[in-house]
Amino acid sequence: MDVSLENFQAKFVEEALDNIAELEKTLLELDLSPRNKELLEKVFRIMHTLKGGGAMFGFEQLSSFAHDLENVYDRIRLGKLNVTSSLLTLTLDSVDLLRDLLDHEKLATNEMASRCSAMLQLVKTWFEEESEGQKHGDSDRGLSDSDGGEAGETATWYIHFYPGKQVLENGNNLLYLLDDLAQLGTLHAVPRAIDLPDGLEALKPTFSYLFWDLFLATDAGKEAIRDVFIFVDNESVIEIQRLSKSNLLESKGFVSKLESLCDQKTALTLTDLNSFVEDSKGLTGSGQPVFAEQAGTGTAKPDLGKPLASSVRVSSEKIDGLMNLVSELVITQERLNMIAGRYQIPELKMVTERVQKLTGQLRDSAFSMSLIPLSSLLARFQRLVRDLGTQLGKRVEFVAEGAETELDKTMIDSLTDPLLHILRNSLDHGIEVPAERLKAGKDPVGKITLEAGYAGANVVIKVKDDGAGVDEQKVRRKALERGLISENEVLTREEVLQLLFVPGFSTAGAVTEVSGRGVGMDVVKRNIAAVRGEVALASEKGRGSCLTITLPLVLSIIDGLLVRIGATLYVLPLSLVDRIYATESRRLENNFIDVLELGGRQIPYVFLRKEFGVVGEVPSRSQVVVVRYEGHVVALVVDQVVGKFQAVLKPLGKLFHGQKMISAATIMGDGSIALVLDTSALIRQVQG
Amino acid sequence: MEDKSSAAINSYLSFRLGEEIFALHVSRVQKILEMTNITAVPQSPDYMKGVINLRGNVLPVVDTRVKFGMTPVEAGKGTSILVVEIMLEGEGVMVGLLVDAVHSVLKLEDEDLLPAPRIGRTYESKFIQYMARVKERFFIVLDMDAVFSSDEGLDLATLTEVREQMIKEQDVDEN
Repeated sequence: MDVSLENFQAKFVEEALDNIAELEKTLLELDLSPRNKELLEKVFRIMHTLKGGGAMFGFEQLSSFAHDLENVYDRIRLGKLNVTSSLLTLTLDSVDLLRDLLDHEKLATNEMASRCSAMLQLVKTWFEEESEGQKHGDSDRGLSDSDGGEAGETATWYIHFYPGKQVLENGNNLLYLLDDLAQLGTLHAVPRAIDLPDGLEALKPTFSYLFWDLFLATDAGKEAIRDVFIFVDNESVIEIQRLSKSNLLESKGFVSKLESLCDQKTALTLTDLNSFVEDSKGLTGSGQPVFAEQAGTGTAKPDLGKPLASSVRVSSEKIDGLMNLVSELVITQERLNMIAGRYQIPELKMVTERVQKLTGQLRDSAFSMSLIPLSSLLARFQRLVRDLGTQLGKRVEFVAEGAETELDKTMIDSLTDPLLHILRNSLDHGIEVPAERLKAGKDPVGKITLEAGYAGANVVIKVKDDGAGVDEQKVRRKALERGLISENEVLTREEVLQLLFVPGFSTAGAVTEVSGRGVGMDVVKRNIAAVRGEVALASEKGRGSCLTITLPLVLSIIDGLLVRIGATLYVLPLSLVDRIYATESRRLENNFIDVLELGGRQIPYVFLRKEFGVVGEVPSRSQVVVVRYEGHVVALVVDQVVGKFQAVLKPLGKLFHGQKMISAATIMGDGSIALVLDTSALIRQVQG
Repeated sequence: MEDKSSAAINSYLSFRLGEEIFALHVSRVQKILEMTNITAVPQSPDYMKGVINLRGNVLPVVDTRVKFGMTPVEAGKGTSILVVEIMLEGEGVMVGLLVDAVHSVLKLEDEDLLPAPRIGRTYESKFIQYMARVKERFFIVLDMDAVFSSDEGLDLATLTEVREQMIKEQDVDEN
């Protein structure tokens, strides 16, 4: 029992996090169009779902907090309050709190409780102030509900509730529902059972055989009552009718009649009730029996449900498993090709080609499954720009283009922090305050653009701003201060920009809360390099900066250049290869400065044979692979370039934890192993 | 389930490194491979011989002799790779152990297994899971997890010394 509750809890947390993310996104949209009714409804609905789910799965604080917010949005929805910027800021802050409220570990701390109550107080204060301020808007709104569903006055309601047999299977605790109802007012519940099977054997313990006749005296409206049933109304029968505009449950006669009714076997009928109300009318004197028509048909529609999604949720482990199998298949395929090539049997060849085609298609579709659109991160970026802009007194418009561009999910994960940092930098150092912008003849509202798109086998992400750009003098001064360059060093603009990526560099005059927390662009660069990406910065003083991130499309298979050094095969990432030359090996023998002249350029080189300590005779001619490295090129000398190779990356494992230059291994068609070189790490190690 | 079966099985695989015999519980040994081409990984510790392809996965291979402070394994007729699973930082990791020869499978009853000697000064004793007595000879049953959680090599001489010490103590006990 406990286990299953935990399962449901985990499921709930997962869904709630999705909901909260959706909420965040909707709020940001609402910020742009505060009068959009649809968005408002969505916010309200999400709050409601959080409230209901939270209560049901034991997240009491979450539930009560969401409840308060829901109330606020309910008022707005009904047109009694307006959306203001202050409200949105408040709600966005609450979004963070809501997230933390889902975290059991954080929940246990005292800090959480105080945060929660502080936030509640803020919401309350806002609510009171705004209700006061916006009151005049109230009067011109008439009450619209004709069936008396409006909240405000005490009335007695009759609720017939049959949850359906399968209700327990969804993990619904019906007692919670009744508790919820009881919180609305005074509840008198008459439980009943239907269709009880004969004998215990026939009784299915997982079925619910119960239904209820509920009498509720409350000042909450019909909507509020219906909302209690929001999670069960798919399969259940719910009828809600108003019996009287007074509290019948306060009259002793009514209650005693109700109790006597409990002993009767038959279900209640309308006429039964009619007489009741007539009776009680006499007793209370003032009650006006009002019979609304039945609320909708017997089975309520799930009107508040989400639109059906045409997607399924699959755990990432399953995807990883699939990817592994596909990788195996690609390797096996290579093997088959080799064997088929050896025997030259026409039939075998045909089958091999067919299998190859299918493997390729399978690989592509499996990879596309593990891709996530960049837009999944947008809400966080928009949020950051909004919050930070306000905090810094800057006005910024954030535009995202090509957000549908898809990336490997591990890549998305490792991109989030660097991108947030880049945006923070743009806001803090790039975009100027409005006054300054006006002075420079710019639009007072700054603009940050996130552009994403495919370029060959890469994904390119650009973050542009139309801010002040990088001040070369300032960077120079700072670099000098930090001892990164010497006084008379002549640097090109390119080189100055590269200084920004040097560890320990930060241009912010003072350490602000925003950026310059010791975490600099060097960390961004390192994080992106960890997923085999590259960063480049272009900047024009006064016009703005553009930071370009180039990433490989998938992480687990790369296009490589196969080379041989001694007896071992190595794979270099093809995306970094610039050019290939051949050279006499003796040119390397007495070369003291480790620079080769290739194609008219002086290029520093690394003699990999020597570097790897390969013994044996050096071939008379070596081949030189020129690779790109941090804005320049470096030549890697190998024995022989074998050709292009598609490498399925396999980790080397923990025992090689000290190994940085070899990022992975790959299995060749004949079953032997080639090592995948991380050229950047290699060059860094050699030069450092 | 696995615990049950591995506890019930009392078979140990013994292997030879130079003149010394070591043993491992059979539940730890996944398979025994013949010597094959090993791809050396540059700039890794001496005892890391390289990697091989084990059914489409990359298996690191350790030169057990080097790890134990001996000269590197010279591939011979008996040279084998024991594929064993070790626990590294709470995670199961497969590793190939290059050994001079696989000896035999021994059945060892509980009374044949003596606890590792508590000779305080020898740090090597923590790599010894048991001392196994087979027909008046003593084998070291290795604690592979301990061996591989340390980057350093072991000193075979000290291990042997520990074993000799054990034999002496046993003799004293029996007389």
